[in-house]
Amino acid sequence: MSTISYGDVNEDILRTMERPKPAFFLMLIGTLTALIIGGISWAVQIDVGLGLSGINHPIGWGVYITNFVFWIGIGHAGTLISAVFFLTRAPWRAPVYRAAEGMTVFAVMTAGLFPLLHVGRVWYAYWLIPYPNQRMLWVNFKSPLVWDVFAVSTYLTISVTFFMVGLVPDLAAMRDKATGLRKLIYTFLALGWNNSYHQWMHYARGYLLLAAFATPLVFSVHSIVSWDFAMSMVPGWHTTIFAPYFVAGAIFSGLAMVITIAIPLRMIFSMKHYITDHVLQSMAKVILFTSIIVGYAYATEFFIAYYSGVGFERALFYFRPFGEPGSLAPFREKGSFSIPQLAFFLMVFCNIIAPLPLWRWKIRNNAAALFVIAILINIGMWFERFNIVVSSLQRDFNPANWGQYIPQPVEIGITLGSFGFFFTLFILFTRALPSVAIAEMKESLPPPNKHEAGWREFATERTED
Amino acid sequence: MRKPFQGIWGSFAYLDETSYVVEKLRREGKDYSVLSPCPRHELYDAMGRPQSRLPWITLVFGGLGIFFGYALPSWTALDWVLPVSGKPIVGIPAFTIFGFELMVLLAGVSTAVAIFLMGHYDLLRYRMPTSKQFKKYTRFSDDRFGVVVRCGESEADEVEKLMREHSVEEVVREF
Repeated sequence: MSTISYGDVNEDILRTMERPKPAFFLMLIGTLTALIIGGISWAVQIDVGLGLSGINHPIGWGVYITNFVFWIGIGHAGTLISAVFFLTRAPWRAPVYRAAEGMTVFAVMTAGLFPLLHVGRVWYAYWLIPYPNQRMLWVNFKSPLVWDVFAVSTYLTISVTFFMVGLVPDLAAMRDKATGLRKLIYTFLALGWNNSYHQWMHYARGYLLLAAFATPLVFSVHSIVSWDFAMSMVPGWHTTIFAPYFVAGAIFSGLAMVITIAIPLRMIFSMKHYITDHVLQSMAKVILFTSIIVGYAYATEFFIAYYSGVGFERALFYFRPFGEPGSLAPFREKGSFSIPQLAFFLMVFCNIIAPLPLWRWKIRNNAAALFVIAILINIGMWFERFNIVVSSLQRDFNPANWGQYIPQPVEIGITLGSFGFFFTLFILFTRALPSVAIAEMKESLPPPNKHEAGWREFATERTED
Repeated sequence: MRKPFQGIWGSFAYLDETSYVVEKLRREGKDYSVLSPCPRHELYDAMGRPQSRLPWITLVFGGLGIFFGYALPSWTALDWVLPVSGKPIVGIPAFTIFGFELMVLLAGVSTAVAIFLMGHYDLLRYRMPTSKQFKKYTRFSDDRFGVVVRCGESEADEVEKLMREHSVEEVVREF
């Protein structure tokens, strides 16, 4: 990395936004197709009604809320990289932070669609906004769902703000290289940035403050999402471990998504000398660490269910892997391996077993292996949320309330559409904006000095004055 | 009428040389500005570590966020009292969520807006060159450092000499 000059950084990164390769259009067609499938599915659901989905009594929260929690979780790694690793001065952060931050914004936007999709009568979605009704009765501010509205909307606003603030110096660099209409657009977006220290001084202090506020925010948001569940009485949900368990899971899944995005990005844009193996390895280490936390949380849930002595909790945690109490159904009866059990074992395999090879340096250093593991983790974390959301609702206190949930085609279509929405936005982002932060990348490089001793020589002379 | 900018500016390829020039200008009490493709602590040190007043804005708006975050739900709870079992009407732990979220929201957004407003305000106070040559010079966002000195013609020779001693690439006088 040390051989890269400031000029190279501009040239290499701005090159990624030149005329795209055919691979770009192929990917865009793929993601747009998924998006269209999702759009059609939603249109059909609006026309026919929510009955078209598998959501019914007693499972009122199905795939849509699973997707909501999954996408909020994906967003967390972006803020972790852009804010938390900024405060801890992680040296490998610079090349991936812009892509990760873009990912956060698009993931939270995707997540924000699901409460709208889930309410059924989407034209009444504005009821979610806290305002008084005709009798001046306000929303219930003690409800975790209202907490969630505030948490997620704050998170989206702050993520977009953080993303835009970081972009401005880069937009100025793009403005200075662009011509014609592009120059006009970038001049407008660069907000009069001229690289003077009068601006950098406020920028550096403001960015630090934004990072300092985004850091507790990232932990609070998923904690609040977890309280949507934990504040209820439902077995499997009513547990104090949920907040740290959800936060660790969010960082785990989000980093896996960053790797899923970063590896093709460095391949397509030939950016191996920026997104180096060391960067991928460092992310793999954080994944490994969070995988251990998530695995520990799974084990704790089971232990506490047993140790609490509460029959309902014990029954539920037996049901998740084995089916009906005492049946050991998936292992004894052929064909009785139902959806909750499938979700449970996929979750355990993908989140605990699949990351284990990352203990080996060779695997962490192998982009293809890392990519496969990251995909498996994405699958595993989706099923973890499915497992939490659905299995608890299937088996609550009263057997008369028990039920079965099978996701319907419209829900699968909308889920596919959410991936299409996210990846379409991300692909367009790589085309329109620099996917590696230019100014921050330069900051992480050794500065262009005339004297070998550089700043030290100057500093010595200064002290002698 | 006095021109908005009068003085001299130069571009540099090396950070240590730029830092040296900036340090000298500061010690001599000159009115200067520095341009850089990215923030560098070397330049910040050479400028004598100037402090931004931006954190005060963050503090004020963060404080307002906390106030409104507790005040709104407390007021609504007291305005239409709905007793639920023995729970307190004004539930401080539950309302802490709003206090925290609104603090982050208002502090974050105000900080972002302030970054740009304060930067522009400073540019009004510290005038930059207005020549076409300066406007067309785009390498300060690429790989060059710049030093702008607002001074009279009499001081310009001395400043130019200092810049030339420290590998300046290009010097332009604007009077």
